[in-house]
Amino acid sequence: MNSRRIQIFFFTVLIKVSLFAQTSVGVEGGLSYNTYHTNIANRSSTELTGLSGFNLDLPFRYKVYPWLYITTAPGIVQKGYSMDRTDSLYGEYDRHINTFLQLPVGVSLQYEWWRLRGTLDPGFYAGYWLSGRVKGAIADIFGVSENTNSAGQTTQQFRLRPYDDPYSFLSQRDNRWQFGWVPGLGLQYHLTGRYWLTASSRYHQSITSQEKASVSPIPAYNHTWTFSIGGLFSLDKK
Amino acid sequence: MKYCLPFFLVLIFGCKKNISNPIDDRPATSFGQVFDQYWNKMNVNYLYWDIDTTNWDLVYSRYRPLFDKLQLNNPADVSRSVGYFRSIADGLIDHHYTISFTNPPLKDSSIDPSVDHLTRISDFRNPFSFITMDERYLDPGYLYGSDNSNSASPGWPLVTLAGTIHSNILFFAFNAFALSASYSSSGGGSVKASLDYFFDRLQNSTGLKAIIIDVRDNQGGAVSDLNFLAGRIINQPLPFGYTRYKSGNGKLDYTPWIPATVEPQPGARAATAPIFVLADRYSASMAEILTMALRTLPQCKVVGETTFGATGPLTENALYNDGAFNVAGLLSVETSSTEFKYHDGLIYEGKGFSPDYPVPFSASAIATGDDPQLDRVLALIQ
Repeated sequence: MNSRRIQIFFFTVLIKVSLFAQTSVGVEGGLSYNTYHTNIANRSSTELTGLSGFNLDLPFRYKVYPWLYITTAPGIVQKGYSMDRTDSLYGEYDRHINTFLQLPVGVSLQYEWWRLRGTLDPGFYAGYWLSGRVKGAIADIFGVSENTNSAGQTTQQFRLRPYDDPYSFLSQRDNRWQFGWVPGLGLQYHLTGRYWLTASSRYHQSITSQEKASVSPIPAYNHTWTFSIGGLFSLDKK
Repeated sequence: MKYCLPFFLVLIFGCKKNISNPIDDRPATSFGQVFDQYWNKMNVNYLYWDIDTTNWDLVYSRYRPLFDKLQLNNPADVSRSVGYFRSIADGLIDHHYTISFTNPPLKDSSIDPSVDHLTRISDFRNPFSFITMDERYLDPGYLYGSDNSNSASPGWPLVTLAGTIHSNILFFAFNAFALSASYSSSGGGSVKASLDYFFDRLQNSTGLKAIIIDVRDNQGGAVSDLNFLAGRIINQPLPFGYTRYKSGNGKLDYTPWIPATVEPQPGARAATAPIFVLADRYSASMAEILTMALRTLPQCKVVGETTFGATGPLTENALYNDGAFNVAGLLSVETSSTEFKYHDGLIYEGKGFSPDYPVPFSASAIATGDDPQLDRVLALIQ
């Protein structure tokens, strides 16, 4: 019994040593830029614009071959968009700033030149919608005044009402989980010893709609670029 | 490695889905298309999907096959479609909801589910204009106003009545919310005079024992009249509820609730005398909004019947991308653009606002020249 426990202990230690020997961990952060892909052709004087935000993740790289790594980078990322009114309704807008907890899993193909590594990082991700905020301004129906010009034409002028509220999740409407695929490119610079500087860009393309099809027949997908810089620390003592 | 990069770039920029939009404004060539347009536009434009119990998906599965059997060029089928639309709309809670047919064989016919409901209740009665009756209660010198050019609907002139009862109770009645337009127009002379009388007495309220505002048989109209009229009774903003609008194409996409307030008119003095609002089951839309807004004042009470239950104001679809819409060549739908929640947190759409002092309509009393609802107000004041 004791011998079996000792075997298991040494086996576990060997795995850990082996794992550490081929693993890098780090931290990356930077900017995100999200666009909301849906179809609003029916909405008059309205345009969708993307929004920038931030992202922060903890990359983890496990070496399978010198040119192939398994990677993950749990982190948070902001995915926002704004629906802006145009023409005579300019000034009205509805801006959503959503924060997701995200777990990408993929592989990293790498190529080394001197102290530099270039990487191609395809993978998939799962995102969990943590929180949201909705900010905007809208014409107040009760804040209307009517003016009649000299030609007898009556025009209406509405007071704009601003709002800035936490987003209220609705299980009937909102898909908390989001799944997609994520290609990326990276560059790593070997500083010294076990330290690397990193820069990366990823494109998270959701393949699941942010709202449930039962109440939102026109789907809407988040497409998010992230641009990060950070550092990697190799657990390999060599 | 060298082949991977171009492959990735193709993946990134090549894999974009084309998302279709089911909203179609082209003239329909079949009843199936008519129904699809109507059903999809309801999904996007109808405001009450959060509280309406109509199973809209079930409507699709039940009625799509029925519409498929109809022919657009067959007058009998066109008439049959009206029955289907009437049945579909029957359960909707929006009391502003109407369908008007624009197709030549059906032109001028319409569906009004809230009025249909009203006619089915056991004590149904037709609308009754109290204004001529109320004249009997007023002291000599009252002002009757009438304006044919500014009315809530063609052929239905704006009528106002301002005066006093027992010389110290200020009274104002009107049948439509077209006051501010009439006030500033050349044709609104008598209406302007009655409004000026009412406003002057509000400003010089010494000796006033109470104020009565009668919105019975008033089916609403211009939203701007809320500030124009109620803004003379207050001297600081009066919050009375919340509004929200559709913010996207999803059935449950809404803006947050926005505070709804009445804004005081420049120089207005706050009324301190008790206020009584007379309302009945035909007080609709802005008449209900005014009733509810004034009822938030501590000295205000409502007397009469529960109101109509059409509390969501209307405006053009383009303003909020919700509300009224057309199905090209066949019909146009009128529906609320705004969801209104009263300051008590309740939505009275489809239900109506209940009076503090319910007094039923009495045809027999009316026949003898008596107005029991106004009598009740006068008794409360005494």
